[in-house]
Amino acid sequence: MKRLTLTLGLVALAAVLAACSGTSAAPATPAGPADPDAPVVTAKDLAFSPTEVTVPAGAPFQLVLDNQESAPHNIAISDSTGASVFKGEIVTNQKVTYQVPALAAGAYPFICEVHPDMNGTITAE
Amino acid sequence: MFARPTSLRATDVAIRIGIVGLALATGYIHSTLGGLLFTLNAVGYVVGAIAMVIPLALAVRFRWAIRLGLMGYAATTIIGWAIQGPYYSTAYLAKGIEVALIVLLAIDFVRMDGNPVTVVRRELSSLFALVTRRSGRVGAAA
Repeated sequence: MKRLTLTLGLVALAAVLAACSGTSAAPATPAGPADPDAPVVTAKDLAFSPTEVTVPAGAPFQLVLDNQESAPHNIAISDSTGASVFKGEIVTNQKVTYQVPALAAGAYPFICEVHPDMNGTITAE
Repeated sequence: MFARPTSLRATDVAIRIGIVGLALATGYIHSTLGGLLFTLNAVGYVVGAIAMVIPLALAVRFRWAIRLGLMGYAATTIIGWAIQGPYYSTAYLAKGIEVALIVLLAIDFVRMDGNPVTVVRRELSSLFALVTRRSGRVGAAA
């Protein structure tokens, strides 16, 4: 019984240590000059504003997420089939600039991965 | 209403403190995430932590069920996260805490209640005996 308790205890300790060493899977904010004309999406009261964003098609662009609350948010963009095309870093109470790869012309839904009810649409044209 | 004080060994007290600490820790993390679902999840962990230590006779009698319930709750939270995400550092920390919580609850269960199958069988037979006795009384009264 003591050996079982010790083994399970060590498993619990290992789980906590492994969790503490976890790293973010989301891409980091890129270094480099920020585009002053980059569209800004604000996250506040568990909602995005604006929910409609227009960007140039066929060229990489910067997208700013201004998270104004303590809840963690990010912007994850998918295409019309639901396939992920971009996942931004999850941040708390912070403004972050994402470097988004070029999108073909069309509409792309975006959500916060932590709160999927927060959503909007990016239109590339 | 209140249970008579029981004598726990130092190891049992440490395990119980660990369970409460881990449940409150993951509950706190969920409370910081915002949104109804995360808030309710946090409340569930706080209720579970309280139920693990409250000296009410009813809670003490059914502590085995509280242990199993809290293990199931944490496991459901982990499965829900595994399906939906998101996968980032805070989530990994919370899941690590929940795995540790499940392990500590399993240790506590084995130390306090013994074999889970035996416990469930015993409780089912108690319930069956209670139901049989009551139906016998109703039959006699009629």
